[in-house]
Amino acid sequence: MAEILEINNLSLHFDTPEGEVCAVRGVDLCVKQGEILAIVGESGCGKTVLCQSVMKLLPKNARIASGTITVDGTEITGCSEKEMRSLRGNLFSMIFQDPMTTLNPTIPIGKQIAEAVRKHSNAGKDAAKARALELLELIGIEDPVVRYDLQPHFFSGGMRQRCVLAIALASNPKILFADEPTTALDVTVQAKILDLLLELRDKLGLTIVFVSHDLGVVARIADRVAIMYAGKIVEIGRVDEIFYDPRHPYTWGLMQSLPSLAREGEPLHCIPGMPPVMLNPPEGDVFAYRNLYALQIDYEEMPPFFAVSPTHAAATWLLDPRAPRIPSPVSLRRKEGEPQ
Amino acid sequence: MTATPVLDVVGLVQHFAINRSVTIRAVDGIDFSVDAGEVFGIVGETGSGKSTVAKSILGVNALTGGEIYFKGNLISAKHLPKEVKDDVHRNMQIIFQDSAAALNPHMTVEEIVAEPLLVNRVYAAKEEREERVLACLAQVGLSAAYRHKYPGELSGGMRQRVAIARSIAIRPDLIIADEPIASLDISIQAQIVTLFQHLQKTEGFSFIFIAHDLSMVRFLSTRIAVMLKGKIVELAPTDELFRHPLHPYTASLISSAPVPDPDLERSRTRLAYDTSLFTGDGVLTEVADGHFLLM
Repeated sequence: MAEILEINNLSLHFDTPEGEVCAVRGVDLCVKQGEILAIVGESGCGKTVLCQSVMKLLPKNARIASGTITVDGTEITGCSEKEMRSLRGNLFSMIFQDPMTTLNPTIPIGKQIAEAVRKHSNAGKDAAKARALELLELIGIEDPVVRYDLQPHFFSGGMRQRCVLAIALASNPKILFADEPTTALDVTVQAKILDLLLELRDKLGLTIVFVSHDLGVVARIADRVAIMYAGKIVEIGRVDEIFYDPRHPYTWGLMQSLPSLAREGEPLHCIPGMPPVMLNPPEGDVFAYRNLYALQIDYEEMPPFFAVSPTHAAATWLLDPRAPRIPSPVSLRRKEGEPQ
Repeated sequence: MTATPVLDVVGLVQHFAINRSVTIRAVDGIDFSVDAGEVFGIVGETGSGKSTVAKSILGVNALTGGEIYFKGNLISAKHLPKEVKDDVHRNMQIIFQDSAAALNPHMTVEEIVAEPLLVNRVYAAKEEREERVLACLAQVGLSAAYRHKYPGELSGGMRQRVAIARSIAIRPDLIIADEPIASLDISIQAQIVTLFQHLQKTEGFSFIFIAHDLSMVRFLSTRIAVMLKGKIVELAPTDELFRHPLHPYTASLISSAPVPDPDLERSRTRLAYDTSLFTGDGVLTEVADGHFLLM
């Protein structure tokens, strides 16, 4: 399959009154056509900023320090705002966590979708309406003809998120960035939205970059997973490789903090300390200060990526042939399952 | 269940009249009791009335109907004897989801934690009070260096620790935590839940843990009540509830909660439950030992 999104050595800085904050530090990433890539990390690790830098929806004080972004063969790092406008929507769209702040509360849902259709194509009024109804049908809203004229407050949270999805899909984008799209929803609704995303991928061949901090959701939806910490990808691999054979101590820590993976009767394991502020990143590996398995070299030099398999790599010195071998403390094993 | 429970809620009804024709039935007749030293979990989706239950217990709203007993004393009446009132104020504490809103931004950490001690006149001497404040901060894992900081200088996890220190300062009998970890990161969530578990064991208070995250409630609670549209649909000991969920809504909640195991997660079938069919009729009946079901 062709690679549709390629990010090479991307670094992004924010100029703040306190100094320069490095939000993204040298990220390499590629996403294939029709793939669902999940980016996992805690708040402030740069996962949202990474998506926004592809969309170029960054605040004014952000600066791309280095790196290139190639979408569908087009290099977009140097694009002007005007060029970006035609790319947004046609090439990629984004949906956010809170559907209510995305939608205009005073305009009927159908009209908002039709507006997106007309912005990105030269469809007339009637054609746009027909396409909007088609989209409402596609994302699973019953009675689209009646619902077309209703304002967002008539809809439940899940249905609003579906409408946002319809707007994002209005112009047939190739890549959809979904930034925590189910975090604000109840679990039963969340399950339905995830199923919808999977269905859309199969039907439209959509590529989805899914940002989340919920490993349960990621296990459901992702083909590949990238774990981010402090602006860097620390581990990347297929979903089964990340869950059943994690190699980076941070991935171990994340998995062990989940109560559903805790062994019965044992206390939860937690990662000590807090995510760092990226104002003055320390020398070496930023995670070293929270890492129970940190080696001396972690404090001195940033670890490179070590390949575990052709699709799986992790940036930790533990994978260096000279390092001591530490078995993964995560109890999750393939096919073992847990009592449910 | 022979000893007097710490908290006994009988037929709690809480309606909010929006205008003459619309009344929101937030809580619609629920019964439960919390024993001494127990961790009682309440789960439910948005709008199920779980936070309203917490507020009603604390006396924020005047009840529409029903009674609440705290250690055997009626606390839901309009006029209470002074001893009962003082007892409630001293021995019932709450922790909220949004620690930024729960802590006064103009007070230092030390002042925040000392306030309940001051208001309830627990210690006469200033030194004793200070000692207790520092002990509480240490218990929640904050060093003395934090005492002169303001909430605005702290991260979300740290602020939640301050809120916990404040709630345990006067050694209450009951702590109600309303979604205390929902706004925190996973690694911090694990830290706070571990802290709750540790404190609950050492201090021995009863704990009502309200959340929508089933896995965390399961990890922490001894008994769980599942709420839907202002009713408790099922109430059972934790293991029993997860092994044999009897109400279709409970079963659908458990099957919808994502499990961080790709193979298992993808092979599971999700049970759907149409909540619009739920009428709320029926009474909570004991179907097995300690297992109650709305039927």
